Amino acid sequence: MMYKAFFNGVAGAALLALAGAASADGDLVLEKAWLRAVPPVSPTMAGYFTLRNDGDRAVELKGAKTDIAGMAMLHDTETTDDGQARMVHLSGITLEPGDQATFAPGGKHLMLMKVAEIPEAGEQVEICLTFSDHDDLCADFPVLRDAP
Amino acid sequence: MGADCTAGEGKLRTPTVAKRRTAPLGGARPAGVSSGAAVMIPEPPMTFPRALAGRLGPLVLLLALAGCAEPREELPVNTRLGGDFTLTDHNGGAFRLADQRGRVVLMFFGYTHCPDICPATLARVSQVYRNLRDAGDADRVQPLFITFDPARDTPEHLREYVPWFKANVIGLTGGEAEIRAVAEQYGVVFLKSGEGEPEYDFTHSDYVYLLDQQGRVRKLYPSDFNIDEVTDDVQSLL
Repeated sequence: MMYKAFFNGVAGAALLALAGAASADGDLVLEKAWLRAVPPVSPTMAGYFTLRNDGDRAVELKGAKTDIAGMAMLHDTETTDDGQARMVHLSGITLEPGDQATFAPGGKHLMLMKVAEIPEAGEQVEICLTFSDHDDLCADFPVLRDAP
Repeated sequence: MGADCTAGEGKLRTPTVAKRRTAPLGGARPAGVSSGAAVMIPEPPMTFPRALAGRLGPLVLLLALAGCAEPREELPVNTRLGGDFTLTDHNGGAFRLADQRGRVVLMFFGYTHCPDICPATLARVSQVYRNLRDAGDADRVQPLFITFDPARDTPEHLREYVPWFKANVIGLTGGEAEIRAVAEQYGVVFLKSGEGEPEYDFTHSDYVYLLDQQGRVRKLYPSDFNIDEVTDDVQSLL
């Protein structure tokens, strides 16, 4: 919460700064976190981020949790050469020391399902990434209409 | 300039996109002009004196760079895909494509329960529309979003979903057979996965279609198309 208060005080920098804000838990660095704004009637939302393992042991990202969604899953959109897009569920992503996982539109994304109330663009949503062998890593995801 | 007008070209994955011809100038092609950039060079006469070829080098370069702006190559008509159809719009009325004659149509398929590509594509198409609206062309362009999930994407649901993008998008739904027929006309493949489960989704083609004022398919784009490229293409058909 400290960084939020800090950025709020920096006029004009808010959106970019928040989109670029990093959340670190010693060995894990979460950056470029955002949720795509969707119409209020949408039942799902997609979240994006990069996660870097700066530690010296492998970690496995398993999923996520947030108060706004009944379920959050790691998904990948696979697009074949003939233009077929398919969603696949990822049961986990292992990050070796130095590895980075990129969740970005058209590829891996955090899929929030059973979203009771879709947040509006400009709001922030706390989402915690969960791991098989590491503490949760929580960050505020700004809701944006377009990719930052 | 050259980089601008070819941006996104490498991502096109469709045979309907015009192949760029190389300049038939033989040894006269100046260094630094890639074969793909020199599109607008007319075929020189057979008696073209080789002595002059070297002098024309800089001119060729200029023409190649100017070629992006104008005159541009006309988009070819795709005769394999397309055709008229009637579906139900998000206000519950009958929508016939033929009624859009005189407008350029940007059309794509998707479903509103898709969180990643579909809203992203809608947002990008909406941006194209807003660019065109700013240029005063809004009433001659019509974005269409066709769902292949009529069970969940009813007219009522689309009516709440589509206007949010503020781009005059018409959401279209219909009976499953009707939608499948339209998809086949346009070469769109979709497959429901997780059938019977409450949370099913679709494997699907994600092309965006550019239709001219006569309703003919003129170009296909991948869903991560270049916004400026599509805006320019639409304007070339107005």
